[in-house]
Amino acid sequence: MELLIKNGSVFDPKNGIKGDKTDICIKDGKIVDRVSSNAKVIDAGGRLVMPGGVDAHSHIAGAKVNVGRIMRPEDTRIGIKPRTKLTRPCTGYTVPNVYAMGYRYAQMGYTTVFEAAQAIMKARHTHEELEEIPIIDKGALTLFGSNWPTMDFVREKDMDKLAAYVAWGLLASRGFGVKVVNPGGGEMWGFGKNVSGLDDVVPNFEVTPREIIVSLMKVNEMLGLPHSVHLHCNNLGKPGNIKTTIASMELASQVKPTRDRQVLHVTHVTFNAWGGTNWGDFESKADEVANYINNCDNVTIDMGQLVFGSATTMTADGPVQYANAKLLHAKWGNGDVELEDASGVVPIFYVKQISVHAIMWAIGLELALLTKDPYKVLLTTDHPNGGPFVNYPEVIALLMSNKKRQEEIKTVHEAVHKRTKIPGIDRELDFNDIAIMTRAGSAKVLGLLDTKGHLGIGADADIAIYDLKPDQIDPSVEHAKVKSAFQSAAYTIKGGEVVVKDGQITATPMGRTYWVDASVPQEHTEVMMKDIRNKFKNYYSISLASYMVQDAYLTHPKVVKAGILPAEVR
Amino acid sequence: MQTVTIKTKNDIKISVEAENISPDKFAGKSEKEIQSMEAYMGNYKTTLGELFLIKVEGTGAAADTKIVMEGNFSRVKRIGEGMTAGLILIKGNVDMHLGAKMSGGKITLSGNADSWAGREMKGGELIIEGNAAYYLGAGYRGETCGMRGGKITVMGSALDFLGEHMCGGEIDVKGNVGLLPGLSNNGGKIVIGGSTSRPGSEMAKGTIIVNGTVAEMMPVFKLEGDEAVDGVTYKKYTGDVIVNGKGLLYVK
Amino acid sequence: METKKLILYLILISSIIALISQTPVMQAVGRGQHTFISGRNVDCVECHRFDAYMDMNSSQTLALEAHKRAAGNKNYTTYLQVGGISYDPAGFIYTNVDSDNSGTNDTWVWNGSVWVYNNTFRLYDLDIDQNGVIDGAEICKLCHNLELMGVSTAVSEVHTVGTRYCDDDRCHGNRVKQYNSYLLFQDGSKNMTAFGAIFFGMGLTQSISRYKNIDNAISLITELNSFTKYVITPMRGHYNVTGFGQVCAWETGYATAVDFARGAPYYNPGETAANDLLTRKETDAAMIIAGDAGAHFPADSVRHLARIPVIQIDPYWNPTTEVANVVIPVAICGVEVEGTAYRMDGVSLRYRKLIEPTHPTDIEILEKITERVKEIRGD
Repeated sequence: MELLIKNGSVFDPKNGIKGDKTDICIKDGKIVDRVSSNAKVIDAGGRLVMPGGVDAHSHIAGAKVNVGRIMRPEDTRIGIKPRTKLTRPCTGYTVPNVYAMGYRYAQMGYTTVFEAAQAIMKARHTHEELEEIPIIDKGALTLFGSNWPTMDFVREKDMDKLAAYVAWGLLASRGFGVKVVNPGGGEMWGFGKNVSGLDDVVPNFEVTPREIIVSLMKVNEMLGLPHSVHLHCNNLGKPGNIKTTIASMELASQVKPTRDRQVLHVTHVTFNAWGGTNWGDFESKADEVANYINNCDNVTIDMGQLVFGSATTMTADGPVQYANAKLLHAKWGNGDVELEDASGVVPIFYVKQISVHAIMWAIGLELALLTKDPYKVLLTTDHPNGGPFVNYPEVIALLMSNKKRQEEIKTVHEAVHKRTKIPGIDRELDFNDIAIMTRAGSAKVLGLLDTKGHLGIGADADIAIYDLKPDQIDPSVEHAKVKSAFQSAAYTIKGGEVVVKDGQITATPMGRTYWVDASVPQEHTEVMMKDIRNKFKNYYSISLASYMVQDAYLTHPKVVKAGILPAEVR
Repeated sequence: MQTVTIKTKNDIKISVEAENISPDKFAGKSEKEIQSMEAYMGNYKTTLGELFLIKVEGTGAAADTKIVMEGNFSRVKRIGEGMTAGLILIKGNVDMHLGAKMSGGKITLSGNADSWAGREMKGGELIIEGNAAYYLGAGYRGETCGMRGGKITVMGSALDFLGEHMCGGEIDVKGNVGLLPGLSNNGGKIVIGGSTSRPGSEMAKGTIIVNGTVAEMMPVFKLEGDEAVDGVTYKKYTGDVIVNGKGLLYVK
Repeated sequence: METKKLILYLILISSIIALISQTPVMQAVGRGQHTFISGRNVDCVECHRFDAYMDMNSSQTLALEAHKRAAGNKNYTTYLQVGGISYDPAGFIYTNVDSDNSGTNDTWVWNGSVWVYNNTFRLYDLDIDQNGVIDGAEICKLCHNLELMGVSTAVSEVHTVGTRYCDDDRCHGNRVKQYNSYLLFQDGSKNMTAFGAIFFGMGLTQSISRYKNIDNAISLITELNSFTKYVITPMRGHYNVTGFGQVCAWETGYATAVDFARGAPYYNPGETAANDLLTRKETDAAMIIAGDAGAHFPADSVRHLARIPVIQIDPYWNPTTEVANVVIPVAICGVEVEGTAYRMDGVSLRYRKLIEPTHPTDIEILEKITERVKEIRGD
């Protein structure tokens, strides 16, 4: 199957292409340097061409997403679309059903999405849902930060055992990377408590969040995993948490990356860049975060941008969600996973006239605009915590147009003037920046830049064509056109197949599920398994054989190999 | 002035979803056009003309449109859904969701209504001369707000969960009312002529007046004393204390 | 004087001296001669100035009050007395003492009213005069106390109390400074659950107020979580009913009672649930898969089922079979067919095939039916 895309205004940041009219040749699902005359031709007509979108942090599948659906029939009834010849029915806005999840990402030109967090014990459920999500390539990050074996091995300072556990945990969960959420807090939530900073000691394990984060970073690099440790900082959602966030970022200097990427990715910083001491004097400290990452090379972040309107907060940060539910007098769903993490789901509605929401909205934008290098700050809304992913085009338009931002600022609570810097920021990102923050940058952060997020030879043929001409449009003024173009791709091509044309689904192939198979020395695994078997004997309520995710749950797997690197490289 | 008369032809067993019966939808349309408007019977797509005898006289905007219905509509749902103006007069019983989401105009029913009449109503007036069933003037599952405005009057009785999640508007039931009226309310006014049980549970705001007897009071209300409302003396309660509610419950 | 009289006088005087020596007042005077029965039941103020601590400033009085609270907390004083090094709020005191030479350190367990180890019961109480508060010199015994502070030798045999020996580790939460919070050691008389779970079922959902009863239970749980840990979960009735709910939710957005009549899912229990339709006699046919409606549905529903064509897909003959017109026996999921089932708490498990099926599987049957329906509709 050959395809030729001509006359596109191509943005391929990895390969330095910023709007050139180059041809893209596709054969058998990959980008190649030439095709025969039999190739089907798509004339992009001078329109914007980018690699397919890559989303490194989104809650699209698994136990807590389903809790969100069950809890929110009123959300499900928004966005109901009956089935068509080609597509199954779509429902939901903040918690879409599995079909809507795939179709809507594809309609925006996205082709790769990673589920932000799965507990090992619940991973089978995550994969069942991923198996139902059409079109996109996907994967899931596995939670390790509050797992009993993690904390035991961290306390014992046994990095070999910890590495063996992480490798085994990724196999057990068919996970792609190491996710750490409020480390130590998930365990404390089992007692109804939380940690209050990096140096709290978790009882019964006697380790601190600091130790957990550093140890997992070390092990992540020992194993040479494609992605770095992906951290949701302690004290999320607490005024004054900026201190914890910066202190967490500083931990990155203790470990050297073994791949060409960051050593720590800090996620949805909108919720963690807070100054002040309470809801009354709460203010943005996004500039401090931006300043920090502008001056270091080993930390990346993503925005977690807030979008006004309905959202559903869902996270493994159990204690934060309890606090949220009480604060908002809202419905509350809670889960505690034995020996592992926690989860909480609470619906929320972001309102422009509420000062806290307005400030949070500004923070996400500040993070993107004050960080100099777009490779360091990815565009996300922490779907559906900040807002549903279908609003990414709104975020793109805000970043590209100061005019739009100023218009919005007029309609939100005036606190943005005193408590944030957003009114005075006039930087406008260009298409190259956006292509980095939504494609090349996210692929690089995930360690997948060889095949994703670019349009060079060897890349997967995942391409998006948008209905606007970069050399004829002024995004600053025509931001509405930019937004509608990104909402509905002219073409989305996945693996060389046209899946979306003019915003309509034209094909629904199954994507692949990425997971990492990391190897460690056999002896290390054996020693580690002694501890694990003990845990299953004494604590887990299912057997070891039932725990591992079976092959049957990944019908289209894509295995990425990793493993213990020689000592010199470390 | 446009008048549309609708009469039932045959007995309808499987429920018909007839949200197209609305002054907004009929305004300015001809008889043929109205007859060919779609309606669903189960999963079978049909037309209003197939199901009913329809006659149209005159034409007009929604506000000048009158729909007169006669027959047994006890299996016809969603009549008047979302209407913003105009009049619907019904002689007979109707199925669920009568006048759901209406924001203006008036519906008068000489008969009984099934459940969820006036669901998520925003404005206008709904008069039921017979009885209502469950969830009168209530919300949709999971929503924090149900009815937000408008007025519902029931001359007969109603069943459980009346005005659940009400945020505004008024419901006036002359007869008895089932369990848990005014459940989880956050506004609005409910007047119950007859008796009920467990009123105002989880109420945050709003007013409930009960003229009959209350079989069981929820233990979450604080007795404030006596107060006269419209010349009648009631015991005044505030609550639900568990949700820090500032709702007012008046019981004779 | 006569010798007899002298001896009598001597006896008298020595008796008097002996008697007087027994009075508290005298006991302070001649050091080295008194014995205390136990360091605990003597009021320190008998000998020591009490008014010293009346002169304290406000921060000192606050500290004093905090220490009084600690002294009044029998769980805490017991913890000190048995040699505690770690405390589990679920009701365990871990020590570094192996009192019975069993090879492992003693672990004391709260039995609801006292601490127990190996048939020894302990609840250390500093309220000597049993007036309900730690007052007067009772507070002294918190620190000046051999039994609590564990020094191996008394400084002087006069007081069997030892000098004060407390350090942050010993007193303020042991090695794991996490337990600095007094609240962690709740007063034994106000015993509090550390982890509670409420399981609810049809007793609540089928009683007056129905599903709204669960709302009340959830309100309670939400409150309880502000000072302890409580969870609530539904008790499901049948095999893998949870699994169906999960699949239905991720496919349609709703867990149950979904109406597809208009090509898109519509959910309204009370309108779209099976019994809602059956009791209104609204269905003209029914297919019942892996559910025994004949046994579990209300009589009115079953009466209607008896009137309409019913297709049953089930491995077993049951009351539903009696009202079915077509019965398709099917292989047993999880025994004859592999697949996934979800536990009540949402944990999914893979079920293996153990024996070869003698009937077709659910998937085979439903796929064949779907194919035929598509054919008939010309899809």
